Amino acid sequence: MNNLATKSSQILTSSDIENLARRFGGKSDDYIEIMNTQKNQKTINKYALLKEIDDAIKTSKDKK
Amino acid sequence: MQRIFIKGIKGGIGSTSIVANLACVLKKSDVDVVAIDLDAKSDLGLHFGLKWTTTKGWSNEDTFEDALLHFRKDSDGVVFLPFGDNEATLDDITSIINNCKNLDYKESAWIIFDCPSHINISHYPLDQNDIVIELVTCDAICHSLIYKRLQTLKTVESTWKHFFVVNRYNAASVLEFDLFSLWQSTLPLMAPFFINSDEVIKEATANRNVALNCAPYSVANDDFETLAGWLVSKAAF
Repeated sequence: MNNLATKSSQILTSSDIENLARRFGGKSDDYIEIMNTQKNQKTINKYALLKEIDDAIKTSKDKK
Repeated sequence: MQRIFIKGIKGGIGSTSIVANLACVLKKSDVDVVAIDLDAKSDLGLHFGLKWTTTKGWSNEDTFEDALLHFRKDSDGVVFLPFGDNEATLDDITSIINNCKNLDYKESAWIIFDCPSHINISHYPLDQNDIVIELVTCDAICHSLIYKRLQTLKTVESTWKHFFVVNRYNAASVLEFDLFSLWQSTLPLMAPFFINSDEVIKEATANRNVALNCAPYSVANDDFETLAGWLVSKAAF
C-alpha cells in the first residue's frame, strides 16, 4: 500500500487552486493534494547528490 | 504594466530565447509588450532581428531620456531595448528598471526583463505585483541550486511572486523525468509545466526570428503559449 501524505497550502499547486477559486468562486481551503512520499524517497535514494541534499535539509530541520 | 523578470538559475539556460519567444506570443494577444535587455551579453536584439553591427543600447547613455532613443520595434510589434556594449553597474540596472515604470503604456501592457544569471534577483527593485521566473534545467546541479535559492528566499523579505520554470526538458531522459516528477510534488514555487527542448528554438534564432513565426505548430511554440497563458493567470491585471 502506498504511503500518502498532504502538501501544505503554501506550494504552487495550491496557489493555482487559490487563483481559480478567486476567479470562479469557491473555497480553495477545501483543496487537498495527495502525493506519494514513498515514490519521492525512492527517487531521492536513487541519486547520491539528491540524497546528500535531502539528508542535509533534514539535519538542519532537526537542529531547529 | 505587468513586470516579468526572467533569469537563469545558472548561466546558459536560455533565458534570452524565452524572453524573445514569450514576448512575441504575448504580443499575439494584441497587447503592448516591451522587452528590456539587462544582460551585458546584449543578444536579445538578435532574436528580434536587430542587425549584428548595431551594438549600442541603454548602457551607452548617461540618462534615461537618451536611452529612449535605443528603443526599437520588431516586425511583430514587440518593443525592445538593447543593452549596448558599455559596462553597467547594479545601480545603472536598478535605474533602468525604475525608469521603465514611467513608460507610457496601458495597464494591460507587459514589460519583460531579460536578467543576467549572476545578479541576485533580490538586489532588483521589485514589488508585490512583479513576477520573477528563474529558469532551471532538469539536472542535479539545478536541484542543488533550487534548494539553495529556497533557503535564501526564506531569509529575504520577498514580496514578489517567485517561480521556477523548467527549460529544455528532454522527455527521453530518465533522470529528467525523475527530477521533474520529484520537483512537481515536493518543491514550492515550481511551475506545473515545462518548456521542451526543441531544435525549433535554435533554428528560429539562426533565422533571426522566433518559434511563433518560423514554426507556429511546433512543440516549442505550444510551450511558449502555455507559459504565456499561465503568466496571464498569475498577473495582477
